[in-house]
Amino acid sequence: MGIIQGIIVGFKEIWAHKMRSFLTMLGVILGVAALASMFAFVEGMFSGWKYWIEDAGGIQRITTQDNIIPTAQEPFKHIAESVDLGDVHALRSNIGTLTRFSPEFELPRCEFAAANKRSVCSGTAATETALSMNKYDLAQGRFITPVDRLNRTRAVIIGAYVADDLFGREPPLGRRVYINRKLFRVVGVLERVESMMGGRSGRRGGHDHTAWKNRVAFIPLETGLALFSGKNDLSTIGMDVDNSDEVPFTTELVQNVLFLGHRRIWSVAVRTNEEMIERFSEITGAFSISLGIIAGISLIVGGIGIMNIMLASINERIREIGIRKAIGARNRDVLVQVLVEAVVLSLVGGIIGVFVSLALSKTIELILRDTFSSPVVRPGPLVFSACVSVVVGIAFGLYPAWKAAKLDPIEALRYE
Amino acid sequence: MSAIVRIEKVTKTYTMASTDVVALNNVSLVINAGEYLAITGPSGSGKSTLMHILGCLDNPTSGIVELEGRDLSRASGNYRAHIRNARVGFVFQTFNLLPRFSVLNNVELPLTYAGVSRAARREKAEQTLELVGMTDRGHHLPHQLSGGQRQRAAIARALINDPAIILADEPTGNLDSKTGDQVLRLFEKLNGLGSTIIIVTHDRDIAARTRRRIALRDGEIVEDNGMLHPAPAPGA
Repeated sequence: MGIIQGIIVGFKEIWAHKMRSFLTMLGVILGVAALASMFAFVEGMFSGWKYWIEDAGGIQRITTQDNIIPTAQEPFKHIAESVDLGDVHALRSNIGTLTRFSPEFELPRCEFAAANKRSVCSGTAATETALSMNKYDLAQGRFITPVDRLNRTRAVIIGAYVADDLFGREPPLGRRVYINRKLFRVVGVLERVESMMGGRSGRRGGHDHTAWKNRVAFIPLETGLALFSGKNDLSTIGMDVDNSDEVPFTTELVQNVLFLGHRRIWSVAVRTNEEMIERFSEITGAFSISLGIIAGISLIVGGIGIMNIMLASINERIREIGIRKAIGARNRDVLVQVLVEAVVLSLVGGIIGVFVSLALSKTIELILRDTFSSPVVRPGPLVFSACVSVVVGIAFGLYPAWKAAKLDPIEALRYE
Repeated sequence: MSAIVRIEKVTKTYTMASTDVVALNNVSLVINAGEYLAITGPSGSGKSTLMHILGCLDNPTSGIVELEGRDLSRASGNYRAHIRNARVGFVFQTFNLLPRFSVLNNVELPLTYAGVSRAARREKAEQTLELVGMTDRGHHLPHQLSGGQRQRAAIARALINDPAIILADEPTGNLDSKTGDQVLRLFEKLNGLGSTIIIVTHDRDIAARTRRRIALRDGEIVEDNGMLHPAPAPGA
């Protein structure tokens, strides 16, 4: 008796008891749906997060941040310093694995005024590397040049939403604008940043998650420091490491160089995106485990349902088993037949479950629209989930199959 | 004539509620190829046990069972299943057809376990159905047939592997006398074509139609008219 015939007989059994089979499958359907959806949700969260990290410079990025002075160094607080261009110079000349630097000074506030329109955005005084290191493209004009910095030019490059706010459909290039009441000239406009999920960044209706990327302005670093700070302190220094494997080692070097350069006061913290990825992996891991446990419990419940129905089914068919044995079925043939039936039952449930999870993912995607965390459906986890249903069928079909196989043919034939 | 079944000093005891029940006591029997015989006896005489041992459903407690020269006294479950599949055909009182399978599928079931290809199974099943006069009923389900037709389908299933012996357990017990007669005539026809047929029954009228009768009582053979025309003695 071949497996294929067993499968055909299995389908006949399912078809002969449609309602009973469906109810039995329900546990497996829900379990597999939970499992496959879990993969899609976690994958969605992870890919959204990865995109975000990529936007923030990828895992090769190291950034500095002003640090809260540790209690032990409290007495030296008054001589603690933020990072400045001297630190950039020190880092560049001491650490060979760093390739690019973007020293930046965040303007405390950034109010635009042009003609009679206004706009508020985040303004950054930066260098020529800021364009590529912040993953922007130019739509029109130019970005900051070394000449701008040398001459402290009052040039500004504005993000797409700022351009919309101030000039509407008129061409922004060459227009004069006031930033915090200081006169600037627009020399460049940034390319609009679209939604990462491929959809258009809708400003109408709903939350626009690309706003923070589009509502920006860049001015030359030295201009910004001279006009709005009066000091040389920077907000942050962004650095790229030439190879992601070197990030942990380079981070320590950066920490040391800055420590020694700041009178051994821990006034500067060094951050990597790798830490963020690690932390996020922990979060998604916790999610996977809790969702996995839910899926596992439903699968066990589903499996018990299958075991139950298979026991009932062989009890109804004791005589049939006796007949089959009398005409030459070996124990193994009976075992395989019952096992195949259990597996067919759970696999059909598993396949339905996969479709349920597809529908679920689609629904969640519609609800979340194009945020970072829309579920990502991949074929691998779907196939895996369907395979899990086969494992459930085998695991919980084994006992009924063994029970059927060891029936004594004489007793079974006598059974009424 | 050659011996097809030889059982020698076969004893079968069951343990029921911690007492031993002797179902067969030191039974010896030789059945030759082409014989048509009846095993009779009241209930509890051991005729069912004898049938189970002849049909390879059970092993004896002691003694020797040979089918076509193969010693089956201590055969494993798998080997007995193989012998039942290839060399024994069963016909039951309650027909025992699988209810959700068509007559053709029921008839070819033994070949399925023998690993015969689909096309060959179908061909053989149709031939066998023709032999029992059921050619036009192949695609019916058992419950669509009359009792006599069901029994003929069951006989076709027993015949399909060209078995060494056909064991029929009260084959007419669930049939009226007219259809019972038809079934017996079918057996007679098959016997005429060379099949060895053993009918287990308590009905003396049926036993009277066979050429050899073996009567059992309390686990022992009390009558065997085959001994009037003795078969070659065991070991001869």
